[in-house]
Amino acid sequence: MLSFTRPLARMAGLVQLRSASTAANAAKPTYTAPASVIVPTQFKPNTKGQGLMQLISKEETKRLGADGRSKLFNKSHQDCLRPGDVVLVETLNSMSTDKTSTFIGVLIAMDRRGLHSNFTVRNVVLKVGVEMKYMLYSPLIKAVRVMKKGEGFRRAKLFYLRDNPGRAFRLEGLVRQDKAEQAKKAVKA
Amino acid sequence: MASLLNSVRVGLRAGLTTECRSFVTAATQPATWTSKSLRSGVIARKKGMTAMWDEWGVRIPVTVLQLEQCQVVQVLNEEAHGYTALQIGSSDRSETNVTKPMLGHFEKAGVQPKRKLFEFRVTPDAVLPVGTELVASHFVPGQYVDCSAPTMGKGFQGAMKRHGFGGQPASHGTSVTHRSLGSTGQRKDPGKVFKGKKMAGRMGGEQATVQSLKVMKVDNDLNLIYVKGCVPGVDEQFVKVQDAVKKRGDKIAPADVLPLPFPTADPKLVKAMPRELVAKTGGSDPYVMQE
Repeated sequence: MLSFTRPLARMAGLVQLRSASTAANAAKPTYTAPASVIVPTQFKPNTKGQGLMQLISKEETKRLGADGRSKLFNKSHQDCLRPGDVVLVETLNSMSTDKTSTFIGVLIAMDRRGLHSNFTVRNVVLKVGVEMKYMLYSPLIKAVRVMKKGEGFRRAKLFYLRDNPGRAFRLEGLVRQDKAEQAKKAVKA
Repeated sequence: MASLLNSVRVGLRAGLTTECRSFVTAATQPATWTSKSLRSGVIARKKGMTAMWDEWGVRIPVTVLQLEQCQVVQVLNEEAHGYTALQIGSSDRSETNVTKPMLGHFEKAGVQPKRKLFEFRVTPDAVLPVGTELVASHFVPGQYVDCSAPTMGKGFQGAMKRHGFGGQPASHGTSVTHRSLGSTGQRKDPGKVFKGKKMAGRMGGEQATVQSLKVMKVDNDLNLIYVKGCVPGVDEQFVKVQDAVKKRGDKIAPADVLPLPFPTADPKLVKAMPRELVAKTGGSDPYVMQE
């Protein structure tokens, strides 16, 4: 398919000739990615039975969900999130530090959109209702832990909790409990 | 008089051919990029939009463009056509669906008949031989491109949507004229409505160019280019992708990926590349407060 009929100038700075014993090997170029280019985990493309955009979305989901976060949205999995669960989300403050921020609250919405899947967590902090929307596959999300399984919630979207919270946002002590659990895990490891 | 004109014509042609001979028969010369060089663009198909996260964790919307059998069909040169350009064809089609004149045109080039043909002006040192395939690695991750395509058709639209007119107040006595264009001119002088007066009419379906879109990712196996942002037109649309005209010289791409593959990507180098290459956004971490 690639039909060149004349020799072309090689890209300066990107070609490294392998030191080889034979002349044939010496002619084969190798590619080293420059500093401004990232080489992500590579997959073999297979468009059989699915369109291009579906393939791309699936590959990216596999790449970003390598830590197993896809199970949080997989209904067949026992660790799947359900609306009404009390969830603790740990996010990195930035990609350059290890410092994290924690937000705990009730999961009021889950949107299944493949790579763009997201969920909304609500809590009442110092008498102010706060909702945080997180993209599931964002690299800034470090961990999502279920602190308490929701019981008695019969809707997929719990937006009614904005007006009728009842006792849903009585979440004191759960952050402390989580810290203690994490400290124990760290000691064990 | 005729002989004088003839001699002038001969002189001109001779001058042109001496200049052009070295470029037209570029097969013997290796091509080197200069600051005045202009390389070819490609024809891609808009496949859709998705998103990716960059190295700082910032979510970036991207448009996926696919190069489908993008080949050089004709070389237009100074002496025969008056300018230097490459006619690029994209997307193979069956010979039964092509007219005889077009079949002849493609047979002359020795390529499979194509669905779309566009010309790209190039400098003589960027001329490629007929039949050369242009691949996704013609563009490097991190460079800027311009994308041109017909916009989405919006049908017959009023002046408010089509030209951004303000309309009239919603109340205070306005009768039945809330979205109309209002006055169309003066009175007895000039006594007419000027040509080109902005009015309601068909909107969309015209060529638009979005400039300086960053190439975020290049896929060598599927021949994909991911550009940051939006591209005009519908999915499956043919899009002309060219190097950004407003980013000259060193500004077109980060320093370590320059020079751009000139006149196009070397197939041996493309084979050695991994399948996917992602551009870094660069700069400093946006989530860290700068002091």
